[in-house]
Amino acid sequence: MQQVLFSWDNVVAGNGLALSITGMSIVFVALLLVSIFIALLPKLAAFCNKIIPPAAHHHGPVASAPAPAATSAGPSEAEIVAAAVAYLHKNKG
Amino acid sequence: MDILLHFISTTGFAEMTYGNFLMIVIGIVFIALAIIKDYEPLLLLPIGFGAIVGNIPSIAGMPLSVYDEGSVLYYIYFGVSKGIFPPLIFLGIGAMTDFSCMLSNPKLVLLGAAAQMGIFITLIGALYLGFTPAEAGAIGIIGGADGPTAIFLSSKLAPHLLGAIAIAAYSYMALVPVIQPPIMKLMTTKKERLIRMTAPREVTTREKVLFPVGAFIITGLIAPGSLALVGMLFFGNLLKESGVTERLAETARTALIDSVTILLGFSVGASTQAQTFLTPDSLLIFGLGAASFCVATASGLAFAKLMNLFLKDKINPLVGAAGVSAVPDSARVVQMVARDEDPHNFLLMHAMAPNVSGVLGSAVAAGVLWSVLGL
Repeated sequence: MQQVLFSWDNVVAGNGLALSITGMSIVFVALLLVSIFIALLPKLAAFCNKIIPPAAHHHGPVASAPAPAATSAGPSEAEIVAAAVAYLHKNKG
Repeated sequence: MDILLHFISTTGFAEMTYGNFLMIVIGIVFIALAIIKDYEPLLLLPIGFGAIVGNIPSIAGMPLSVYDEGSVLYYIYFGVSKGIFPPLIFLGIGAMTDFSCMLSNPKLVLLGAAAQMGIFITLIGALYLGFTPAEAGAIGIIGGADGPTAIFLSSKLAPHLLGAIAIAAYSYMALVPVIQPPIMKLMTTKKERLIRMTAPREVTTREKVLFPVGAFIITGLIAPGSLALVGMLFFGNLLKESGVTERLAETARTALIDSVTILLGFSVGASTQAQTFLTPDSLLIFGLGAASFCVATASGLAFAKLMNLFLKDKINPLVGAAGVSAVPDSARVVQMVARDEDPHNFLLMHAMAPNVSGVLGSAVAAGVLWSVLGL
């Protein structure tokens, strides 16, 4: 602070009004553009989904969920034997 | 005996001034507010203790304080004086912020812009009081209600006022639950406070991933001065939303931001030595800071009421007060005031939209002020 002198002249000399109006306008324009971008986001996301479907993304939630190991490997030998024994036991009589 | 007398002359008791004593009392008050009243404890407690540390008189010739080159505190304060800590805090904020509320209702973003009026009106006030344009810009940013942004800009425009600006910004942020409700009640009718807003829509993951990239490009191109702050904010958010860097996001929003907050709060507190802090300028800065918070709150409310003139689906004007970027305190205050009128009116998620856009707005404003006044 150069001097304790309360005066409107300080505001005029420092281009205070112009600076404030310009600064405020820039902030408004920036956030207005962000707002427009957000409004367009659903369309942009839909467009991106056409090019790169979410499931095709190798880190996507669908792809990242591991398939159950038992499905690919099928039932184990012991399970098959147990099922066969149970079947025979049931139909014995 | 001579040795003993010499030692006594070097103790803090011998060098203590009334100013130091007053600042130590202020530091204790900050700690008490943090512990007893739970006012921004993560900030007020480190700042309060730092103020006590910074006001224990140093021994002449020994590098001890934040202003003595070579001292330990000097190197910790380096992160503040060079504006390193604020962008790191923004990284953590980005990694913990869910922008869904903002993405689901883009018109609320404008409330975050309106509340930045506090910055520019305070700038005019500071110029009127005789501060230089650069100092006025640094003081004005207190109205952004964003501590890291205030520290960042004042380190660039008016380093000699950094301590006062940082303390004013954080003090008023802590006092948001005290400052805002009377203004909110004064500027809104009961009928307006009872307005219920429609539930926000579901936001897809793809939108959340695209948002930080697009929004950064827009704001970065408009105000390159805000690159460090906005860049880190959106980078942190991308770490969170991408889903592939969860470890990094987790570190940014926990360990990193906590470490930086400790160092920043403590060293800012330690910079408030009575000799540099207790000046007429500091008093003026505190006065302007209070005014800027009030103007910012009033601007957000007024703009929300203005928007309602054109909107079919009315917004509760209280959410305009959350445009000051004290996240998430001002959004909580909105919720609190709304629930005083109607216990079943939940405005928190709606208020978070102007709240986080306020962070963005104040960072852009800081970038603009730095570009215009710092060159």
